[in-house]
Amino acid sequence: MEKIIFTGPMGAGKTTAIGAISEVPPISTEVRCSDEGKLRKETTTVAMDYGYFTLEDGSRIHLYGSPGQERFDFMWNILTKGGIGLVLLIDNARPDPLADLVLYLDAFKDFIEQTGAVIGITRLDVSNRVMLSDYTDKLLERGQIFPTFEVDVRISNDVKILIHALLAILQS
Amino acid sequence: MNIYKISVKAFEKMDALLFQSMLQLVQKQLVVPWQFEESANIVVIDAEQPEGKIFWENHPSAKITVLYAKQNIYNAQWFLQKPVRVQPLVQLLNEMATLQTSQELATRASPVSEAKPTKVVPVTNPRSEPKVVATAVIEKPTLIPTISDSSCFNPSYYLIGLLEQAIKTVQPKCLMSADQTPLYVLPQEQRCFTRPISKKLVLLPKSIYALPLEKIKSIDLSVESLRAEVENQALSGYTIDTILWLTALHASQGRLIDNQSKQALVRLKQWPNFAILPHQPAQMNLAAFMLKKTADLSEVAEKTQLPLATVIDFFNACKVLGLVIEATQTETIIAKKDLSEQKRNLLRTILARLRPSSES
Repeated sequence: MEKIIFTGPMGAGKTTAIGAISEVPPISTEVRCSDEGKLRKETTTVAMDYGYFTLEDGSRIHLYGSPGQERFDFMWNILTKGGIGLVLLIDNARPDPLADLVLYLDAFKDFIEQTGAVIGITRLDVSNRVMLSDYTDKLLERGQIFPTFEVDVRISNDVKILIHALLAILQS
Repeated sequence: MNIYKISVKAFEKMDALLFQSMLQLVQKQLVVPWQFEESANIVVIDAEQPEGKIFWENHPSAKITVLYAKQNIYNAQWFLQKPVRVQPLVQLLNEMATLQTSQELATRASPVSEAKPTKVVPVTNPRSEPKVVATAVIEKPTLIPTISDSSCFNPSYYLIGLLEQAIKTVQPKCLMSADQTPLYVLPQEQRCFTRPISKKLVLLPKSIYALPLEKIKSIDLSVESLRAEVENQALSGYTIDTILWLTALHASQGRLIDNQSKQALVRLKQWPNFAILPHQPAQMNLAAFMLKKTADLSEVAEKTQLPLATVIDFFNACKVLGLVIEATQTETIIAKKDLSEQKRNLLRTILARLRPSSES
């Protein structure tokens, strides 16, 4: 089963991103937020999001979104098994988006090393405390280079550009 | 560095003194030093004076003349509005210096026969006719190198030169070429405004991005009038980086950027922000390769199986955005992953399925 994994903190737009390229509306296991997230979203994904698109030969590429909250991190390893690569979405309007970046890169370190990752920064229009260059600087500081773009995951083209970059690094 | 010399003709005494003082005053804002001389090849002529009028109509062709008057009554190539003010003077001298440098480089590279400018295009904005303070408008260049007579790509000969100037002087501008949507530059916000640009890069040889400087009309605007034009025409906003990128890709035409050796080992330090930079699929692959290892451009072309001209255009655009690092030795930054042919086929099929559309 071929799959692409979407991850990132709660509210970064994983469900929306999957919906932007999936042939079916994303199937989500969402519940009402009961903790600090309630201030930002009414519901959040507790197990996973799921969508897919079909290739010319009829096979499907499955799209999985990990739950955003850290307390569900036991799901992350299960989800990534056999995955093609990682799409990491970071919500720039969260209190410390650079810390989020580091947390997720560390959490998915093994999977990224085996495959590859691309980073989409969302909501740069809402908050510009942290700029796109801050993310690339942070990555350079860690000795990492990943495609890092400012994206609006509601626009399917932006999500396609992320996937395209991911595939480009896997192929080169 | 060259020192440019300028003189005045038929100026009233007070005007001449004012001009000389102002020339001193604006030196720090000029891209090259300018010096006042009694007799120089560049002459500012007060054509509202009888003596100036006669000189204007009969001046030797070797002189480069600037019309000094309340209105551009002769549709002059170079015009400075009366009374002389700081910003228009700075703009005029900087534009002249840019073009003069181009002339010198062209003369050095290959002798070009001197030709007089042909018809001069009047500077008007068809919608609102913003005030022109000082504008260089030439339909045909005198000695400016054309694409065919220059083997290098000099960004300052194209739209990039005008954008850099707008940024340096913090002067909002309307940049226009025949039959095309104007490009409005708001350096205060590092943004440009124009009709929607497709995210899928389509190279148009006649677009403003491909044109040499002398084919582009530049009009100074106030921030307010620029905003009004943007609103009236419902134009879309873009970062200046997007326009620099587009210009480099359009104007390079397979010529390597000035002062760059084809043999130099290079790599990218970060990904171009393809979410805002119009691109073609090949450029995504080029970026991926050029981030992984240092190589000269011929090797990049060979390994990515792309034409060298495509690689050079992409390299120039990255260089203009400051994304290039030069190295002294070959280095692999990211190790290549071994992929089975089956996996490669799968990735190609996914790419074909998810090819970004040209929507903007």
